[in-house]
Amino acid sequence: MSAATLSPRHGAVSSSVRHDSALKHTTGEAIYLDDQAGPPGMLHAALVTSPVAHGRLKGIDAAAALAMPGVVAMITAADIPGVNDVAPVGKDEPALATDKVEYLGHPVAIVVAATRDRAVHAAEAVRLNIEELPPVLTIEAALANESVVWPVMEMKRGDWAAAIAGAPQRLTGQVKVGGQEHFYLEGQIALAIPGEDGDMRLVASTQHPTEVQHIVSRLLGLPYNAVTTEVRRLGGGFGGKESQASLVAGLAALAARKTAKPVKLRLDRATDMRVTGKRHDFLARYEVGFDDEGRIRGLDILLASRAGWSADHSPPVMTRALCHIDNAYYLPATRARGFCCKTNTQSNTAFRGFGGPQGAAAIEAVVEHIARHLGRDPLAVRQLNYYGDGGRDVTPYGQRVFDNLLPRVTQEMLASSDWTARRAAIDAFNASSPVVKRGLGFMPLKFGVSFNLPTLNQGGALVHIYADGSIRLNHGGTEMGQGLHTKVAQVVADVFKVDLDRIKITATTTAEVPNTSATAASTGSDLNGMAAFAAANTIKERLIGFAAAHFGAALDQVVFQDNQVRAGNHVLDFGELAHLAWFHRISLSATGFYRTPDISWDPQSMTGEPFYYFSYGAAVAEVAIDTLTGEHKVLRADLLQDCGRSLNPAIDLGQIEGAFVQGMGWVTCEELWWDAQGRLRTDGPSTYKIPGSRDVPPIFNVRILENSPNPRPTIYRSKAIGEPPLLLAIAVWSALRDAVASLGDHRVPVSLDAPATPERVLFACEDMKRRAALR
Amino acid sequence: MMEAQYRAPGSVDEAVALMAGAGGKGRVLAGGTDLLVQMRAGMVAPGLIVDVKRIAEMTAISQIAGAWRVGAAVTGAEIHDHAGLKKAWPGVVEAINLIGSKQVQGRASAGGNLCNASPAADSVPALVAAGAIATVQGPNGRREVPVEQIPAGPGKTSLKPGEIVVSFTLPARPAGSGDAYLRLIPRTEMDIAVVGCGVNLTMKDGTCTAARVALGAVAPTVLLVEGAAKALVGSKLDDKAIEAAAAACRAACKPIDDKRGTIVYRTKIAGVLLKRAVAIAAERARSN
Amino acid sequence: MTDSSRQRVALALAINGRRHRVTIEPSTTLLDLLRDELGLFGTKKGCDMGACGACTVLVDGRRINACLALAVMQEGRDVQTIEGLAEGEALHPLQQAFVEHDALQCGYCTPGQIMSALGLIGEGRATDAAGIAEQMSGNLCRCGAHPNIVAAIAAYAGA
Repeated sequence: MSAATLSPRHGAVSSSVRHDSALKHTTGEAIYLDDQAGPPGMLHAALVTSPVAHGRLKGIDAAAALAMPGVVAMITAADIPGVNDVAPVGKDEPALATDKVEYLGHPVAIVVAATRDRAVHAAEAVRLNIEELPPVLTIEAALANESVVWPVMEMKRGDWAAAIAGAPQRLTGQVKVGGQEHFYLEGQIALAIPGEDGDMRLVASTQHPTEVQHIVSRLLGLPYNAVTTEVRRLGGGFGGKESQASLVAGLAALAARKTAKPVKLRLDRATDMRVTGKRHDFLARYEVGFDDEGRIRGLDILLASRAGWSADHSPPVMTRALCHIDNAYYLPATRARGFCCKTNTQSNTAFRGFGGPQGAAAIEAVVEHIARHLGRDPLAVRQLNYYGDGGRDVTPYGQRVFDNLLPRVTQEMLASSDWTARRAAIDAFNASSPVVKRGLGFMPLKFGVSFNLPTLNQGGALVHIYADGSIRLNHGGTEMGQGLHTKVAQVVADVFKVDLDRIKITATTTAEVPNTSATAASTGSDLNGMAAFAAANTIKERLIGFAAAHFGAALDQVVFQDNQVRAGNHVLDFGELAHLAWFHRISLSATGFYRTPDISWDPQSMTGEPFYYFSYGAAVAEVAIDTLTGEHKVLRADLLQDCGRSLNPAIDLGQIEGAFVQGMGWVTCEELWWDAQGRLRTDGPSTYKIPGSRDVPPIFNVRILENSPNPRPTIYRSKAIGEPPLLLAIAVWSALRDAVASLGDHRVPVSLDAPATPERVLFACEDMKRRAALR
Repeated sequence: MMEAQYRAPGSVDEAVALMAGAGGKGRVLAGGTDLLVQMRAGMVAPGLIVDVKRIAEMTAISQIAGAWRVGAAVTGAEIHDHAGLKKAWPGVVEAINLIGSKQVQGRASAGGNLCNASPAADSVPALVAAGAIATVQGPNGRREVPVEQIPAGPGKTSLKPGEIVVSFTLPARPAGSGDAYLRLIPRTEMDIAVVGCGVNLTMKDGTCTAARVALGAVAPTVLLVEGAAKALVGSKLDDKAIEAAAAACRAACKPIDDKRGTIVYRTKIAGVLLKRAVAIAAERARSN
Repeated sequence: MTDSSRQRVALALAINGRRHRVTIEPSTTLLDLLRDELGLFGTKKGCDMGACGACTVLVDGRRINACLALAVMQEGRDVQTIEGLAEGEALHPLQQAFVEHDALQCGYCTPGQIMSALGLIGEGRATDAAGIAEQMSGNLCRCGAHPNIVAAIAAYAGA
C-alpha cells in the first residue's frame, strides 16, 4: 500500500469528521427499522416461550389463541420447511423447540396477527404442556456434572506443573466475573418480506447480514441466492446482534413463509432480555508459582464460562479468553483450560471484547493476588511481569509480541495521571478517613486484533462512480454507531481526493457485497476499509489510464487533488473526468476485496499467530468506597489508548470513552440475577442497571496515543478501536480492590468478584477487616 | 395496549362513584407511571381508568393550623418546588423526589407510590415516620387512616373496594423537630431501594422527646419500628442509644433474598442507614 | 384494527405548534399516538417502561416519558417533539451543539437526550457539568456518549 498523503479536503483521513448520520440523529430523521410504516399487508409476530428452565415439551394448545380476533397463524417447529437450526458455529440449535425446552424463555412457537398487541396477547394465550425436569443453572453445577456444550480446550506451554512446584512461592485462588446484558437501546427487530419464486428479503437490525442470509436459507430450505439481508443502521449492537439477530430474523422469515405476508418481529425489552444471550460470566480457578519478587514462573488456570443451553459463540469466546489470559504478561510455563458449561439459561454470545475482557480480568486478579501476598505494590508486580525482550516476548499460544508498546503506554500513563503523587495523597487520605476509603487502580492492555479463525478475516466493498462524479459506496460492514461508514467513506474520499459529501453511504446488503463476516472483533474498518480502498483504487487506475491516454500525459502526470484531476497541463473537476470517462466507455464500478495476511490458527493445539497485530493501552482509575455500605464512586479515570494512526480521532475518542463506560458497568453495577427456577429477574432497566450520566467519572481524561502508526500495513496504518478500551475499565475493579486492601494495610489479598456491587464491596471490606485482624 | 374506558372526573365524589360503578375493575390514574407499566406487563387489565388529575382537592398543597395537607396526586416535581413544605418536612420531600427519573418525577405522586404498595416505595417510610394520615374516600364516605395501615403486602393495600386515597396530612409538630430519609440503591436514582429508612425526631434541650422510625424494602410492607423509636426517646442520641436503635432496626428486618440484595446485606444496611438518618434528622431538629 | 366494543375518545392537542384532532383508544400512550397514528418516528421506543428516556418529549414545557403517558391525558396540551426543533434547514442551537460535540453514537437515544436537555434547561437546572449529568440521568445511552452529551448541553446552556 502506498503511503497516504493527507490533504485539507473536507473529510480527509485522520481528520475528526462527524458521524455520517449526526445531523439526522439530532433531528430524529435517521430511520431505524421500526420507524417506517412497513409494506402493505404487513403482519406482526410475537413469541411463545418456555415458562420453565428445563422440560419435555409434550404439547402446544393454540386453540384459544387462534380463535382470538386478528390472529392469522401459529408456527411451530413442525412448520419449518428446511432445517430447524440457527447455530452460528456448531449445530443442533433449534430456532423453535421440538421435544424439549432448555431455558426459561426458549422460543417454542410464533403467533402472527394483524397487530402487535393482538399477536402478544394471543401468544400469552397459547398453553404449553411441559413435563418439568431439574435445571442446571450455574457454572459450578455444570462443572460438577461435567456438562459442557463443547469439548474442553487446553492451551499448554512448557512444563507448567514443574514450574509451579519448583517456584519459591505458590498461591491458589478463584475469581468470578459476571455476564452482561447488551442493552442496545433499539431492541431486536426484523422484517421479513416474501418475494416471487419463494425468495425472502430480510430487513434486520443485525451485525451479520450474511449470517442472517445463511440461517434464513437453512430454515426455509433455500439457496443463499434466494435470500437477501439489508441493514441501514442499528440502534446499538455490541455483539448482541450477531447470532441473536439471526434468530430473530429467522423467526420472522418462518412467519412470513407460512403466511405469505410481510412479517415484523420486534421483541419488547423484557422478552428480549429473557430470550437472547448475553456476555458470558466466567469462573477462574488458578494455581500460580512465582519468585520472591512476584515474577510468574508457572500458571495453571481453569476458565469456565456459562455457555447457556447451546454452543452459540461460546467456543470462540472461550478461545479468545484463553488467548487473553496473558494480557500484558509473559507467562513462561502455562496450562490454561477452557470449559464452556452447559446451563439451562440464555445461550450466551458475543459481547464487545468476546472473552478477552474475562481472560484479562482473571490474570489481573492473579497478579494482584501475588502482589498483596508479597506486600508489594501491584503496579510493580505488573511491570515486572510485562512482556519484554530476551525471549520474554512469546505468548502462551506461540505468537511473538512483535510490537510491544506496554512500557511506553505505562510510562506515559503514570506521568499524565500523576500516579506517584496521587498514590501518596490517597494513602494519606485513608489514614485519616475511617469510613470512606479511596483506591487507585491500574490496567495495562494488550488486545489481539483479528478474528481468531483466519477464514473470517475477509472484507468486501463495491464502489460506483456515476457519470456526474457522485460516488456510491457499499461494503460488508454494518453501522451501529461506531462510525464505520464514516471511516470507510473517508478512505474512499482519500483515494479520489474528493470531499466526503460526494460519497453516498448506503445500506449494507448481501445483494451488493456477498459472503461477508460479522461486523465484530473490532475488525470493521480494518477489513472493509481495506476492501473499499482496493475497489476505489481499481477505478482510480482505470481513470489514470484513461486520462493519460486522453490528454496525452504520462501515467505519473495524472494527479488527483482537492476535488480535481490534473493530467499533464489539463485540469478538470473530478465530476468532469467521470463524465468524460463514461462517455468514452470506461467502467466506473469495481468491487474490492481484502484478506488479512500472515495469520494462522490451529484450534487443536491452540497455537498459531491468530492476531495481525496487538492494540495497547493503559488506564488509571481512582475510586472512593463507603466501608459500611459498600457504595462506591469512580472519582477519576485517565485512559491512554493506542489507535495506530487514527482514521478519525473524534470517532475513536467516542469509542474509547463509550467502551470504558460500558466496561465500568460490567465490573461494577451490571448484575444478572436468576432465581432458583432459572427465571432472569433482571429483565428491564429498573432492575438491570447500566451506567448513566452520573456514573461517568467527574474527571475523565481520555487520550489517543500519539505518533504510533501501526507497524503492519493496515488501512492508513490505523488500528482497531471497538473492543480494546472496554478492558481498560478493569482499572476500576483494581481500584476498588485497592480501596478494600487499605483496610489491611495492602498486605492481605482481596477477594472481590465482579460485578463489584455495593453488597460485594461491603462483604469484601468485612472479610478484609476480619483477616487483617488475624494477622 | 388493552381495552379500557377512560374518565376524568372533576370531583372526588364523582371519582368514587365511577370507581363504584366499575365493579372492581377501576384503577385510579394520577401520573400513570406505575399503572401503565403494569398494564403493559399484563399485570392489570383495568376496565376503567379514572384520571384524578383534574380534581382540585387531589392536586393541591395547603397548610391548616400548622399541618400540611398534600393532595394524593400532587407530583414529585410540584412538591420539590414547594418551599414551605420543603422547609417543614425535608425528609418527606426528599423521599418523594426519589420516585423515578427526572422525567417520571414530573408525573409520579406520593398517592400512586403508596397505592402501588411496593415494599420498596420510597415515599412511604418517610410518610410513616412523619406520622402522616391518609384521607380515604369510598362508597361509605371518608375515613382517616395512618399511612402505615394502607399497604397490606407487595402489590396489596387495605383499601376497600372503590376507595381512593384523596390526600395526606402531615401533622403540626413542635419546634426542634426534623426528619430525614435515606435509602441505599445499587446505582443511580432510578433504582429501587435495597433498604429505605425514614426518621422523624423532636429534640428539646439536647434530649430526644419524640421519635418515629420506619424501614422500607426489608419486609412485605413498610415497617414502623417502635423499638428503634423507644431506644431514641429520652436519650441524648448518644452512641449507645443510636446503637440500640440500629439493633432494633436490624431485628425488625424480615427481608427476602432477591435480585437487589441478600437478607444479610439488607439487614446490615438497615442499621447503618438508621444511624445516618438519625444524624441528619437531629441536625435538622437543632436548626428548626 | 378497530373493535366496536372499544371506546374511542376524541382528543385535541397541539404537537409542535400544530393543532391535531384525533380519535384514539383510551389506552393509547402518547408515544404510540406520535409514532403509530401521526408518523412522528423521531421519538423512540427504547424500553416502553419509562426507564430509558428515549421517548422523552415536552408537554407544556415539562419533560416526560411519552411511553408512560396516556394520550387522552394530553387534551388541550402543547406537546413538543424532536421534529419540532429545527426550523427548515436550520438546526436548533442545541441540535447543533450535539452535532459539534459528537454527542451521539448509534443515535437511538439522541432525540430523547435533546428533548430532556431542553426540559432541564427550562427548569433552570443546567448549572454546571455535574448538575447536568445529575439531571440527565433519566436518559440512558448504552454507547456511553455521556461526556459529549453533557458537554453539548453545557455549551448550549452556557453553563
